[in-house]
Amino acid sequence: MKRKAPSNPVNLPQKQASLEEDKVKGLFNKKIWDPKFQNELKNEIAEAKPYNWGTIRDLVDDELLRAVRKEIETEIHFTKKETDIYKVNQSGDLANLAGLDWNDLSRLPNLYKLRQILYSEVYRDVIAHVTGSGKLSGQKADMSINTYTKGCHLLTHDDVIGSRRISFILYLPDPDRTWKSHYGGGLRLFDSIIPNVPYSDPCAKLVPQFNQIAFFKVQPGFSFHDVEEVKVDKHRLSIQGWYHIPQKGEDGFIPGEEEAWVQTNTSTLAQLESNVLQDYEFPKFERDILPYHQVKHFEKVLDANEAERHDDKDKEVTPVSAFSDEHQLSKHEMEYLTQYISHEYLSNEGIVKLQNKFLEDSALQIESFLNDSKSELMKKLIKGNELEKDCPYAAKDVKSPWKTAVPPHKWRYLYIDGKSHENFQNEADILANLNREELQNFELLKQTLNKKENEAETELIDLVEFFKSTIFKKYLALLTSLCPLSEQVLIRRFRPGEDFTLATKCQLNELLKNVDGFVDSVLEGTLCLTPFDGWESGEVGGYELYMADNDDEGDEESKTQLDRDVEDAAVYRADDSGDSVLINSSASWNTFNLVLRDETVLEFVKYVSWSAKSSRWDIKMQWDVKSTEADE
Amino acid sequence: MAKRALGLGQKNKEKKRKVESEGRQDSKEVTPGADQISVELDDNEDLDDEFSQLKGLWQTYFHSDRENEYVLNGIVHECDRLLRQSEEDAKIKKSLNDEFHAIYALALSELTIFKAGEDDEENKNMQSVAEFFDNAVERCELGLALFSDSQLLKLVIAKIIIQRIPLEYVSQLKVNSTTDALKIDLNEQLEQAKKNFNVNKDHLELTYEVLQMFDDLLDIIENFGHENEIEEGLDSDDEEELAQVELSSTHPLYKLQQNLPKNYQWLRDQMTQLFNALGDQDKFYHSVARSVGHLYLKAAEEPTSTFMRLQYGDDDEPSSDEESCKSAQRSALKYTKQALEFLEKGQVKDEPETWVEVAEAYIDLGNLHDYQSKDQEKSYQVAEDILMKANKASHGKFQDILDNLLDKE
Repeated sequence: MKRKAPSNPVNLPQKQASLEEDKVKGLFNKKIWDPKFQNELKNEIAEAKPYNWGTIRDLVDDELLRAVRKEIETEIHFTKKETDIYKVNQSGDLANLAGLDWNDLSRLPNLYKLRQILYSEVYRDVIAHVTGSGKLSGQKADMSINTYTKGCHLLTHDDVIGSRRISFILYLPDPDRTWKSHYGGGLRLFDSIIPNVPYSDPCAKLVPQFNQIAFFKVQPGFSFHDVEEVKVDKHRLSIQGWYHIPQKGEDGFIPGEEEAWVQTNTSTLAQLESNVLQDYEFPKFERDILPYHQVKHFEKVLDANEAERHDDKDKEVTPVSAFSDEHQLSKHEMEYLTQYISHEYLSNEGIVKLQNKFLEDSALQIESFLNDSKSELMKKLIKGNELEKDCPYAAKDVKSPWKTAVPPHKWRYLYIDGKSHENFQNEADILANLNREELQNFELLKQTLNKKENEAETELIDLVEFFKSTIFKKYLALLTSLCPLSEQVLIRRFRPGEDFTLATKCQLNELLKNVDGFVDSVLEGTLCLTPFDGWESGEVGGYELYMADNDDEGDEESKTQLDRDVEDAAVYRADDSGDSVLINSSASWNTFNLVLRDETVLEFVKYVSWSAKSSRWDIKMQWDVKSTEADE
Repeated sequence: MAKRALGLGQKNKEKKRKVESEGRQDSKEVTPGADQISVELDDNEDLDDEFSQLKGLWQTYFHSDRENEYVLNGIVHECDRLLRQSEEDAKIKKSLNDEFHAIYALALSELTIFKAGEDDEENKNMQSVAEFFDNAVERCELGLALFSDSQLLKLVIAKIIIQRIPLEYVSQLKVNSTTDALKIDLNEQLEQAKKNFNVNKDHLELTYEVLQMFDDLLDIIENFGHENEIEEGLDSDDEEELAQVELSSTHPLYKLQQNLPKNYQWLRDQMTQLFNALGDQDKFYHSVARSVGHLYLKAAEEPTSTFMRLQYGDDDEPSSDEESCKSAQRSALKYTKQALEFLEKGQVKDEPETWVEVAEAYIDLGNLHDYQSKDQEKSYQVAEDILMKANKASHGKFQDILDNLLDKE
């Protein structure tokens, strides 16, 4: 389900009682009317890094803004909303909890006045002048009020929606106290490696103060920013708004301009999603195709079951192999699996139970998956890593064998993928990597590691090698009655106050689509190895959520242009209304989740809060699969 | 039936269709048994014994996140039923000991939390809260009539009173309320609770909970009138202190406010007794130790601020204050050292925030020692070492405290 538009622009009546220019000017800090101030600001904005943005302190009359704040506190009701991309308290008014009615601000006279002056021609002209944006609409007013309390955040996005030309945020934290950097809640700006691919780390941060405004030109592919998580028990209240392209009848209106702008942005995005962007995404969710001789064995294992059921005595059995083609685990296979997996899941009864459950639910959640000795060893090592080692936060500090997942408007986390180390600083680095692509080789990676310094990593890699073993995959085939065709395994670490993935759908392997019996779903496994508690309530994020995409059930005709813009821009993705949630699994110790995902299922790992006790650790696996059962 | 599983999304649609075609209005999945709860039972409890089951049900609620009103209602109904049955069944009657009455009373008093927010009409809620508290107290009294020396029932009475003061009474008060705002004397009530309270060796966890509620209550009294500022979030790093709101002598909280120091000391004594009753294997040993530590820090606040004012204040204090300055320093040092003793016992290997509490107390200690003395430097150094370690263990969570400390040096 798509998130509702963050706000609904309203058309201000043409004949609204407009304030006289003098009165408008009087309600602003008078410095902004000074041409010298304006020109200095214009230069600053033109030179600003990473893109054109500016800020003005003490923007409006202090008394007016304090009155607005008081009104918001007493008249407006906030509801906490959480999706993959944000957690924020959104405003509704007391009469209508669903949303603040911007068409009727009669109970909010000061907010009404504030909107009037922010959308007044004389002020818009200043903003248009200093940003060089071109004329701005005074008719299409578009504002929303949010308060970020402890734990609230908004992840990286570029604000490109519909006809937006300028984004602005007017801050209203406690007027009598200074907002400090370590409170969090800063506006952070991201430079881009190439258009639409922002760097992992922000390069500028604004610590917001009362009556300060920040604004920037909405630039598709460039204006990436986020709101840093608020880390303390304070309210960071703000009014967010946009200036749009002039509308019909307004000064500066150009027929077709808005349509062309919207059209270009949406089609560029669609193109990017399918092509260019994927090249610049790391890690790539591309699964390596398994050797045919391996697949053949899995087929036989599954066929053996068929044969048993049909009481077919003529089944073909391969005499020599790393594992038997029987539809059960041999003594040798059992011994191997027992080194890792809890015994209860390896017994015949255990396997049958899991098989039935998987058939029923298309998913399994297996607690205490690793056996006690493995589990204890891993826990000791991962805990030790958390408590005794410095964890790198800036991408440039991330050392082998870890890498940073990019770009940050899709995900950010640390991962080990079994390939050579890389730490992208620029476009050339990425292109060089693309030119010489490698396959996963965890064994080789393990050999390059200093075992003493990377004790936890070495053991994690050993686990990965176990999951990549043919015997484990036979076990997997037994549980799911599906034959693996390809695989990818990653070790991931989601750091508090830093990491997440946004909701995405899985992609099938194009090369395998024509394989006989190919299942148009991806089998996905997650072994969660998060050693500290405090995750159950979901307050600190870190949970993995699978949800149904109810897109096709939406009534296309009832959608407004704005709804479509929001969907097209694909900025906001998931909703927390709950009825589309298929699986919600908190970070935990030693839980193995197995899910057969078709292309309609969205999945994400929620941003891990700064106040979480530790990182979320997991091993993520994916397999393309086929079914060996004959069509009946 | 298909031999292989469908994709999760298709499966979900199929399930939905099934539900719809079965004509159910509610499309939400109801997993059979999802509304059932499992009940904690001691190994040596008789599974079929109804009272054991009731105890298990209460333990389940007591150890849960306490959001399930149905469990409480279930307990109350079961208690009612057992009472009725006991009139005819001598065996049941015999089994209903003081613990039965305690559970009954506790369930009634816990229900007030749900009743307080139930209705849109404040008055109705308050009425219902009062009724439930009355019933809970009555249940204890009935129990005590039968088991007059039950320490458990006395502890439960203390719990009910301590819970009732903020929930039912203080919530109705404003800064300008006067004596006639309430029909009862809150100070007397609290004294009543203290009289009944005892560190109950058979119910240490409940004992701890009652003391924590007492602590919360003192906090509410101390900060009465500041609720809005606290809501806004205090500037903790500025060490900003809220001045206590001075209440008129006719205010229902006046006496409680006057008695705060006395009551904090009482709390500290009881908490220390509780700590002494625990072994370091008890699951709340560390947390009780930290509570005692916090209460000693609380005791150190007043002499600390006197010492700071006299030693480092801007005003030229008359030299006759030298002795009071020394005496405040001695007293503050004594309490802070005692706090440290308990905070150190309260440290948990995996929880850096518990180490940081020790570090912060060392900073306090450093502040109290003579300026640039060896003792001061040593205290700051210990604090710095702990903070460095904790900061590493928690991804920089304590950087601002560390920065402040290094700045100070």
